[in-house]
Amino acid sequence: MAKKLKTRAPTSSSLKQPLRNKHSQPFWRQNFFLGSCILAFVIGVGVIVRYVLFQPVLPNLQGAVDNRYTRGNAGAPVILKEFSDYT
Amino acid sequence: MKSFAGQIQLVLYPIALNDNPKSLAAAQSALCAGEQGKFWEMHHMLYEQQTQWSQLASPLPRISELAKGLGIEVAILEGCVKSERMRPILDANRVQARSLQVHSTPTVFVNSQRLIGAENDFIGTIQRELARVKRSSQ
Repeated sequence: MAKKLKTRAPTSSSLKQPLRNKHSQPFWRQNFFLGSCILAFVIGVGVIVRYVLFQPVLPNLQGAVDNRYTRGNAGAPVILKEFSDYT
Repeated sequence: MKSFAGQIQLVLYPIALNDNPKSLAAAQSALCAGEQGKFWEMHHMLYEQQTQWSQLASPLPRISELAKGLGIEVAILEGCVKSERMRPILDANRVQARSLQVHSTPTVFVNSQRLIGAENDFIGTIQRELARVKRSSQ
């Protein structure tokens, strides 16, 4: 005698419960968010390393204009530009 | 030059021609002295006392010793020179020199007129240039 296939009829309580899915959001959206966070972190670290940690120490030349030492009045009719070597 | 007061401006471009190590040490020393407000004093001293340091293989100690008499903090000066903090300025000056076809020093441009070497009629050139500018402005 063949066994009778037994199936469980849905009860009213099971019908009321929402279908529980392991991923409440689409899978790609979670990955996109996670990837964006990682990318932002990497970029932030790069910016900090490049512009904060390795900031060059600027010379503080007293009395110089644009790192050039000058004598006389700016706007004088004759400008002497001297390129000289100390040796 | 005092007779030209108010009529001329000198702009100095220290360079180390051909990256000579002695020139580099001296030029950096001058600029580093500038951080202590003593550029011109160091600039003049380096030329006046040139024979005392330019023949040495490593001139920085002698330059530092001479700098003491100018009221310069030697430890700060030497630290600055060894850090090569002034190299970008010297490199920029050298690029500027090359763009103007400067191949020897001293080279002085009186407005656009080029004078090469120390033996030059600077006074006469300045006087002629002042006269020319005055004529063109009338």
